[in-house]
Amino acid sequence: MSTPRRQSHVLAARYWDCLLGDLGSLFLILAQAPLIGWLCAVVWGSIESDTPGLYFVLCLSALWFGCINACREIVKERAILERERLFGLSTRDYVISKVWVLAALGAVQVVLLQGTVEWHLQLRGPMLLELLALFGASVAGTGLGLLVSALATTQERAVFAVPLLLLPQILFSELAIPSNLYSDVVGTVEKIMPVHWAFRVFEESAALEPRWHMVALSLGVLMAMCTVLVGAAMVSLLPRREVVT
Amino acid sequence: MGSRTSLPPGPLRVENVGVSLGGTRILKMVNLTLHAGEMCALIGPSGAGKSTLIKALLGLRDPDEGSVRMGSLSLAKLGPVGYVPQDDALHRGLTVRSELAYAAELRMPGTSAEERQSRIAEVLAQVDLVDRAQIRIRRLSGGQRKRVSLALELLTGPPLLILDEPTSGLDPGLEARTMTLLSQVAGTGRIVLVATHAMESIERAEALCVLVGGHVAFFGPPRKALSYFRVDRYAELFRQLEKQSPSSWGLTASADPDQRAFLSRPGPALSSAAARTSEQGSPTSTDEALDRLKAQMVSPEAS
Repeated sequence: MSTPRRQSHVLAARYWDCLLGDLGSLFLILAQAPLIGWLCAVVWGSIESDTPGLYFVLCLSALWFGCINACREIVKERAILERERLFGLSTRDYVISKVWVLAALGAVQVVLLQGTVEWHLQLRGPMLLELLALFGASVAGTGLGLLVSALATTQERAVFAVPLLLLPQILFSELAIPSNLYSDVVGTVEKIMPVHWAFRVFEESAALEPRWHMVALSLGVLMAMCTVLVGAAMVSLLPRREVVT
Repeated sequence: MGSRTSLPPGPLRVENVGVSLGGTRILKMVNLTLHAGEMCALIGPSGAGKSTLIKALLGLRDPDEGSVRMGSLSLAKLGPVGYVPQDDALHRGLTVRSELAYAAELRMPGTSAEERQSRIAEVLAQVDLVDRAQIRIRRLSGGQRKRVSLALELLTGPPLLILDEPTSGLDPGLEARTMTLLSQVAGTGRIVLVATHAMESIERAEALCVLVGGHVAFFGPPRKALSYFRVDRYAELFRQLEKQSPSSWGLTASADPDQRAFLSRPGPALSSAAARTSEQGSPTSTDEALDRLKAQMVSPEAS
C-alpha cells in the first residue's frame, strides 16, 4: 500500500486541478502581468530611463496580483472547508495548500511582468534580485488576500476589500506624499506596507553601492509579513462556524 | 477504516429537544424516532425551525434541553453525519471522478487507493453517474450536481444522511427521481432525513415530520397526515397550519395516540438485523445486514 499523502499535498493537488479545470480564468490571471508590464514599458519607454516611479508601480502590481488571486479562494470554499473539517481536515494544511499554489502562480506572474518590462527597458539592478523583490511583494499580497478571504463572509465583500488595502500602500509612500507632509507618523505607517519593502530592494539594487544588509532585511520583512498574515488567516478560520444558513 | 457502509447502531431518537437562540426558543419539545432503512420528509413553512433541527442533528448546535441519540450513542460519538446542503458545495472545475477521489483521500485516511477507487465506483453506480464521471461539475445539470453532492456523502457510508432541500430548482420529473433515489439510499440501511418542499413526492418517505413555529405539528406516516389535517393534498397542508397556533398544534400532536404509537414503533427487519450484528460484536455494514436479511428470507431458522 502506498504511503498516504499529507493533507496539504492532496489539497494543493486539488486546488491546482481546479485552476487547470478553468483555463479561461487561468489565462486571464496570467495575462494581467504582461499587460501591465507592457503598459509600464509604454509609459517609461518614452522617458528612456527607469525611475523610482516605475519601481513603485511594479511592486504595487506584484502585491495586487498576490492579493487579488487569493482574496476569494477561502471564502468561496467556506462550506466545503467546514464540511471537510468534520472529517479531520487540518485548517493549517488547508491554508498552506493555498499558499503553495498561489505562490507558484504569483511567481509566474512576476516573471511575466518583469520579463515584459525588461524586454522593453533595461532596468539598472540585477534582474534576479528584482524578481525576488516582486515575488516577496506577491507572497505578502497572497497573505493579505488569504486573510481577507478568511474574514470575509461573501466573495463580493472580499473583492471590495482589496482596493481598500492597496490604496494605503500608495497614500503612505514617499512617492505620493510631498516631502513637507511626510511626518514621522507617515514614515512609521509606511513601514508596515509591503510595497515599501519591495521598493527598498529595487532602490538598493539600482544604487551604485547597494547596501546588501538592507536588501536582506527588506526581503526578510516581506517573508515575515506573509507568515504573519497567513498565520492570522489560519487563526481566523479556527472558530467553528455553522455550515447551515 | 473500511470503505463499507456503517449501519446505524440503533434508531435515531430525538427526545424533547429544545433549542434557543438569542433568548428566543426556536425548537420546542421536538420528538422523532427513525429507524435504519427509513426516509423521513421534513416540511414546514419558513421559520418553522427546520434548519435549526438540522443543525442540532449535525451536532452544530447543542440542544438546550432534551437529547439526540442514535442507539446508545450521542451524535458526537457517532462521527460525521452525511449532509447535503441546499447550495452545492462542490469544486466546479473538477470532474465528478476527481471530486470524489480527492474527497475520498481526505475523508477516508488509512484506506488504499484501490479501496477508494472501488468505493468511488460503488457510489457512482448508486447515484447513477457512471457515464458522467469524466465530466466537469460545472457542465452538469442541477439535478446531477445534487447527485454528486450525495455521492460525496455516501463515500464514507454515514448511518445518518441529512439533505436540505435537495429538490429545489428541479423540475417535477427530476424532483420525483431524486426522491426515489433517496428512498433507495435509505433502503440500503441508512436513516435519511430530507427537508423538502417536494410535496408530491412525500409519500416516498416512510415518515413525515411537519414543523410549525418550532413545534412538531405532525409526525407519522405521510398518508395519515392527510386525514389528520383534513386535507386532500399535501400542498394544502400549509394553509391548514395557519388555522391554529403552533403551540396548540404541538399539544394536539403530542396527545394524538397514533403519533405517540408511531414514536415508539419497533424498527423494521433491516434495523433488527443491524442490531443483531452489533450485538454479536462484528463489524456492521449494509452488505452484511442485507446478506443476513436475505438469509432469513430464504431460511427463517437461519436467524
